[in-house]
Amino acid sequence: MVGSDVFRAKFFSLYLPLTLYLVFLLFPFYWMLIVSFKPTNDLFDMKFSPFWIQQFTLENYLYLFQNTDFITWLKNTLIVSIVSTILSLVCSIFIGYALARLRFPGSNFLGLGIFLAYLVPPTLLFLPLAQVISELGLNNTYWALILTYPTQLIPFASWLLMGYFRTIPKEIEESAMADGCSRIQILFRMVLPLSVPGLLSAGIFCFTLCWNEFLYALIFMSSGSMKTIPVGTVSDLIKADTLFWGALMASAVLGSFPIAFIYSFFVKHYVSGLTAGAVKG
Amino acid sequence: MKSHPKKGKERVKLSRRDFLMAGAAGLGVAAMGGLLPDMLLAAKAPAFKKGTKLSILQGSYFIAPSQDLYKRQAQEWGEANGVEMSCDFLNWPDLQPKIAASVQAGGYDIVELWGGWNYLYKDNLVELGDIAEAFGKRNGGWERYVELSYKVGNRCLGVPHGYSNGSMAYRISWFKEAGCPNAEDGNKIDLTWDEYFAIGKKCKANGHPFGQALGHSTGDPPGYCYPYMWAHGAMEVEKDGKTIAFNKPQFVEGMRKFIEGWKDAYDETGTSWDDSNNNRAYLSGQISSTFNGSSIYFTAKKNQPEIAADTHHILIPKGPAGRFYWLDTRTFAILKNSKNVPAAKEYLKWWFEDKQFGDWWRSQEGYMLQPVKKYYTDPVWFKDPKMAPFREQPKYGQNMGFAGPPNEKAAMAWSKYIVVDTFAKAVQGGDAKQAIEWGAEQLKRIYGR
Repeated sequence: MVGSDVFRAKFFSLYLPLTLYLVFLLFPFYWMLIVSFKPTNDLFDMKFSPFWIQQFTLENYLYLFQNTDFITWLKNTLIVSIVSTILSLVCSIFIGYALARLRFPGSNFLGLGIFLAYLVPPTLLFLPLAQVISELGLNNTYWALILTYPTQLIPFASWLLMGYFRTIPKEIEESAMADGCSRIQILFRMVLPLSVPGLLSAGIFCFTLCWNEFLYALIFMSSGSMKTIPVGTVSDLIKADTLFWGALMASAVLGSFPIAFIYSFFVKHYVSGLTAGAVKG
Repeated sequence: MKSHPKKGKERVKLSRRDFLMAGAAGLGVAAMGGLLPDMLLAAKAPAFKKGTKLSILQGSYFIAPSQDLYKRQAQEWGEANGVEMSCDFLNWPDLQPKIAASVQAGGYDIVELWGGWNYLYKDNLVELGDIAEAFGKRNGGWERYVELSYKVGNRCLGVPHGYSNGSMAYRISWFKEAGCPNAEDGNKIDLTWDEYFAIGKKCKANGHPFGQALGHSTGDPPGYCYPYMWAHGAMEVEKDGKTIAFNKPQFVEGMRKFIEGWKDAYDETGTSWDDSNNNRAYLSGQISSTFNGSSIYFTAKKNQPEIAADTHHILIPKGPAGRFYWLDTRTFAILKNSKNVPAAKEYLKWWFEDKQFGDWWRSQEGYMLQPVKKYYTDPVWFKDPKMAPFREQPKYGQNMGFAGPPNEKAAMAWSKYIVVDTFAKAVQGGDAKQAIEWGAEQLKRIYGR
């Protein structure tokens, strides 16, 4: 039968590879989830299959909420991520638009310089930045991260937005200009409403990076309860060579949730924002 | 003393002599009752200017109550002296970048330094010889491993407080099954590396291999590989700190035996293990013996008492050149850029007094090795015979970089895992000579600078 042949061909060329890929991608999350719901003793008991839950427990989540400052870490991470993302997006919109549309001497050089800044690894930057943060008296405050995260976020977001702005036909802006719009008015009334997918992808990129960032959060803001989720999780749930696996995984599950939630809502826009400008029309 | 009967609300009058006599008597009673020091402490006005803050950074404790005790002690001193104290405890691998940032830009007054870091930051640390020497002298002198490493040249840049190290944990029943004599009492077992591998071979044949982390991890891999290297006559460098002494025939022979032992006795996935993997493997019954701190035993006592009952420790095996432990001194040091050096010094002086240090050290129940000889005979060591092998470790302790000084070059070789990688390359490639030649070349690049 022709139909069954088509299905067989599709099964082997499409569904099977996709399923395998899906298993490969989702397995870490599955592992994280089941470990977080297992009692500690079951984790070390080789009699049980490690891939299933023998005995369901919420003790790891309770431990997280009762014995650590997880709620405070969550609050800290949210504040830092949201404010840094907004700050970076605002700066990147102006930079991206200027690089995409304005002609001024050294614009190419400036664009390249911004991109090169993105290539400097944080492991090289953290010591000089520590000096700056200390001089400004911002150690162990939210501002320490809110001001340092954009050093990594703005270059990438600017380039991403620059690519997106270039996909918007110039003619729209020229018509607006003919009707008397200023550059700023064009940016806010024409360009930004047309760039929602680009803004969303830049925003999600910035937020994810802030949410997961470890080194700066460790160096600039990790005293007392001023910890973000990544730093708090490893400093309070790893004691010497002993890891509290259940609670670690519970923290990872809860820490991944906001990012997964955001992605699930905006995934379409995110993809279109990232791929805009990839093909010139 | 004359009596002064009260008349209504008439004030009681004291002559100057009465006052002095009464005061002297009161002080005498208080002193006899042991109250004097407390009274003086309580009566003492805050010794430091208002708003003084001390920030302390150290690695997180495996024994959680000891961490809480340290915080309470710091708080107690802070309240008595009008100083606001804050203590931070970080995951071990994260300690060094945080300290590096503090050295550069401030943030902490007192930091915990691990082996070699006092050399690394020697220009940024306050001299603490007076506190350290008084502490050492009062407690019977330093243990050998501390003596060898707590100073940078003649300068004492931190006060040593011990070291947490590993030993060989093993399953009693599986060692018995493999025919190990005295398996039920690790204190009666004294093995050579060859004998240890031979037991491992039998254990593996019975389905219970040994396990050893050989990945890039700060504790167990170097804690195992350095002693094996020293026990087979090799060192990173000679005493001059320059001449590489790694590629020695005896070590090549020892490495051949190790390659064989790895195949016959060990779980061969250990090349990718870190400090935590062998804990997990041991507690899940996957392996029968491993080099580890007492954390395995303590965790088992808490969560898996049947495994704790079946666990004992033995001293690390000896080789042709003897028995060695890789021990480094951990110190509490004060950063020069601290704005509160006098308060930090006073705090450390107080904390290293017998009461505070003794309480803290004892609360670790043997997890922390003693830095001073007095604690070798402390009752803590006799509470649980299974912990006794840890008590003996300081006798065999050598520092990284031995026979040279435990300086910044030794710290660099350690942080690049050259010795550990030599072992990993040997078992992966199967060529002992080639792996050791590679290691010697890498060491030359560091020590030859």
